[in-house]
Amino acid sequence: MTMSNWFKVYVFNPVLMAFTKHWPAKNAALFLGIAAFFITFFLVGLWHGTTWAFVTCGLLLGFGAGTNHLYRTWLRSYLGRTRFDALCAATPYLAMAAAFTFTYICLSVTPLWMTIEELQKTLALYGLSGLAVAELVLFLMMFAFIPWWRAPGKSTPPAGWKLNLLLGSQLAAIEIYLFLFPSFGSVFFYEQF
Amino acid sequence: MKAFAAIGFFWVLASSLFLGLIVCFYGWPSSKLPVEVLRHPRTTFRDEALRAIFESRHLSNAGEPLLIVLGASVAQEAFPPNALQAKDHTLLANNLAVGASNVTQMAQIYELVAKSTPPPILKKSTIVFAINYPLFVSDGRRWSNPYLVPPSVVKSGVLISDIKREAMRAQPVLDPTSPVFQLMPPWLVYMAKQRLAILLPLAEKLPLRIADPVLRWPGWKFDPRIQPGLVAPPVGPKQETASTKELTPHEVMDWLTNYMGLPSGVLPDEQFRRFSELILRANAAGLHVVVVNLPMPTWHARESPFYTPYLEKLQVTISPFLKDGTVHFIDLAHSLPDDKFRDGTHPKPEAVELWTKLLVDQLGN
Repeated sequence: MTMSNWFKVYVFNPVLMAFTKHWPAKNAALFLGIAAFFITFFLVGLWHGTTWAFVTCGLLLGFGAGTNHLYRTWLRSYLGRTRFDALCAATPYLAMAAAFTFTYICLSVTPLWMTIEELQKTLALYGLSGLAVAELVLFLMMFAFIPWWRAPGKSTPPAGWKLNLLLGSQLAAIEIYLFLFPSFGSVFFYEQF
Repeated sequence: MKAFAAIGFFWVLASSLFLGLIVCFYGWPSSKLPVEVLRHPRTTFRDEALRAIFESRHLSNAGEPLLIVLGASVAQEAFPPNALQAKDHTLLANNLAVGASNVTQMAQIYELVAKSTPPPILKKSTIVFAINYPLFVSDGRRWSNPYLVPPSVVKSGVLISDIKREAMRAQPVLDPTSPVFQLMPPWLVYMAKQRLAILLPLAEKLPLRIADPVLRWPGWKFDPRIQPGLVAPPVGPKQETASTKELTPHEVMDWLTNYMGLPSGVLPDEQFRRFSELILRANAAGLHVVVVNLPMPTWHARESPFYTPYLEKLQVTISPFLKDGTVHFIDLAHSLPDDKFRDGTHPKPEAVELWTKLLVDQLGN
């Protein structure tokens, strides 16, 4: 069982059921869903560690998941079920959603490798515009690359000599990148446990 | 197994294509002897460490006995290979001293030298450990010094020498303390270094972190939260730091006293023990080992709290080797007048010839 499945089975579903049992009103369903998502993803963050860095990470993940649930519910009611399903099946929309999710996760895990002081210094140095542009660049990169492995009909991974060529080229790229841009003295975030 | 071989083949093929492209632009890395790590103007100790790692490979091309000088910045400046050879044409002198080294780093450079030099040549060669008291600074002080070590490394709390840090570019084959490096045959280390040396011209032109130039663009500093009038006043002229401003000789001594750490006048046994081990290793490799106690201005020797303890501990450390004749000790401590020093320890450029003459004369004896 994966961690995400474990949280779905043992946290999200029981929490949502308990909430629904306690507040059965139909118009409360949206808020109960948001709360269940928030609690689940907050615990996903806490599962990694109990320092403030992980608490902040959990809060950001919970906020993101809750907001996403709100957005999806609103969009479904605004577009109608058919148009909403059609939009969700469209490749550009899927790629954009996946890119946005990756970008937001990168933002959420920032407290794991940056202290508050470092974050303040970075913000003072590059400003909000710097932060926004960094996120935008990340989003565009993800948007550009994700369709390559999410393209419909091309979901089968390469095999045989093509796979060996891909892996060999990846190793060469990693070796050259590490030589040109070595990571000097970076702190592995799990040291914060 | 077949799949691993195929992946390895494509790895070599892909990287060879990329390296071939770089060779087209920058040419094949040159192979030259003698090796000299110091370049003028001096830039960073990081660059010197990188040069020591890569240029030590040229020693494998030596066909005659070598003279190899190891130490720190004083040894670098005082004994340039060309000046040594000008005094004695029979020497093929090489200087692999790296600025601000301590004994730990000197031992790592020795390992690079020992791996690169062919064993028959090594047995006929001479190694000079040019030392002074700053070379015996503890690892804890030296590799966490905020003036000499990048802030991220200081913050991480990891004590890692410049050589080891630069070797992280390809740790298994460049780091002299890695098991892979120690187990690899010298020809394979040479080939690996020769291959990676192709990337050096590119590495020198690139920023340390890939996104640095992008993040330095002033446009990013626009911040809608900052209202006009609330912006901090412009920063005045760049303040001099201890590492950049021109220090007077006495300030250099004070800086070194602070650099050595507390308690004042106490030198760690760890570095002397490591020095003893280094001499044993050099002896075991068949090298003729020479320990040179570098010249020191009289006022510095008199006033520094570390100088007398250094001499006492050095005496204890090398006396067993002197007794069995495995070390040739040359004491140049008071052999030069104070006006031959440009600061508290380093030679004046015009006095370098005199410094090298002193060493060559003593080596001849």
